[in-house]
Amino acid sequence: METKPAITPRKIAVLLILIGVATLVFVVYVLFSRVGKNEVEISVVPIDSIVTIGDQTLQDGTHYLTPGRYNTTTEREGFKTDVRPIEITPETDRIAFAIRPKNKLGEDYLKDNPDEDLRYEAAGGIDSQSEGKARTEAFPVLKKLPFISPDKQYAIDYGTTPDLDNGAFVLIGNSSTRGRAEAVAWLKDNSVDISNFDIRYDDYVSPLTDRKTSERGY
Amino acid sequence: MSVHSRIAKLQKEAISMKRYIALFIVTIVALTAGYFTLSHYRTTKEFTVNYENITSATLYERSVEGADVVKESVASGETIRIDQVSEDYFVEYRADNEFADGEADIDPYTDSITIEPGFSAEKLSSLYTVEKTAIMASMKSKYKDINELYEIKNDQLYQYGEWFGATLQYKGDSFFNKDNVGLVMQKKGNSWIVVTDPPLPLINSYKYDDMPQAVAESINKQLHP
Repeated sequence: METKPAITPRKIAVLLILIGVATLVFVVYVLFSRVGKNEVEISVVPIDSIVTIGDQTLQDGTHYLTPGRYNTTTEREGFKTDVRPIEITPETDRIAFAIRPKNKLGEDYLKDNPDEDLRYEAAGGIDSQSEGKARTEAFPVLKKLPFISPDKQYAIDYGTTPDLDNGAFVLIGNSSTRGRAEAVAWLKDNSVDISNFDIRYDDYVSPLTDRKTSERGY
Repeated sequence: MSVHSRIAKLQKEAISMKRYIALFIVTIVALTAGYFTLSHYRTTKEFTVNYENITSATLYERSVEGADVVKESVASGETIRIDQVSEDYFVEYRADNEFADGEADIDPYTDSITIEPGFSAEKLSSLYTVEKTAIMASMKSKYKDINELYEIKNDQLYQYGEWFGATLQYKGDSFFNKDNVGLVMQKKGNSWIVVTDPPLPLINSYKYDDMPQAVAESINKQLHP
């Protein structure tokens, strides 16, 4: 009598198909869960703080986030809770959340964990780097500043301020009437939306509010 | 086992194998279709366009060639699927009689837009004839030398007639500050108040919270053509 082998080619084929389908489902699931999202490295100091971004609760590490505007909360026992809005653009790849101690519990934690000092520094670096990156992405002209016109008729520089949404303003200085007009033309040539950007004059004196100084020139 | 029964068994196994392969292909097709369908929903969002005093509105998406029509005729309150975070969408609208036609950019981080067109140039012009005396008197009381130092040009009302803008062309003796400047006023109650104090060679709506960007753009176009 012929004995039937325990593992038939058919069984092997079925098993391989099942493994293939399972792998495919897993790959599709992973891919789908990341569609339309950015890979964002989130640095949190202290490392075990809890960050809430929108309705997601996250910890230090790499996460996939949908671009958008979110309210965030960073909290940990012994530390001041930080609440702030953030904007994740399709280019955002790193965000830092660092909170400071509010009582002895927090201070003791930092004494016992000296490594956190380095993490504060790194978080500060990420913050200023991402702010600067966001600013220059929004206003590429900032990369060209400061700029002094070849004939020294005007100088253009920029400054930063937390009072503004974009965090930057442009300052036109060392200028005459002609220089100020040329400075605006230069900004327009460099794709600056002059009506929707904070552009300030360093040395323009209005004849309407201070006629004497405006006519004397100093 | 006879040759016949062996052949029959092999045929049965072959049919069964074909079924599994068919099932595998169907699964792959279904997963791929599902992936693309779900991806579409994840990378797009529902966006609602609301408006009043508008006769027709069209949604466009800017492209390298110009702009592509996304939806030809958008009704107020209508919801359309658009890309999740894109700065390229805008609505072009034709307004009712007394209102101005225009375009409205869509903020990539919002789910809706409400368009409220301002008055037409004709309507604003007729309102200006009524308001002009009060505006000039207020301007003169704020800056007593204004008529001596500047010639007022491009004076007109904006929005619903509550904003006034003009360019001031310098005609005084200053060598260092002879810039032409922009002046914007706003009607608050029954009074006209100078918003851009002092008037500057460039107006930016950033500095003045309530000022419509269109006012700054119009004056800057005159000052820096």
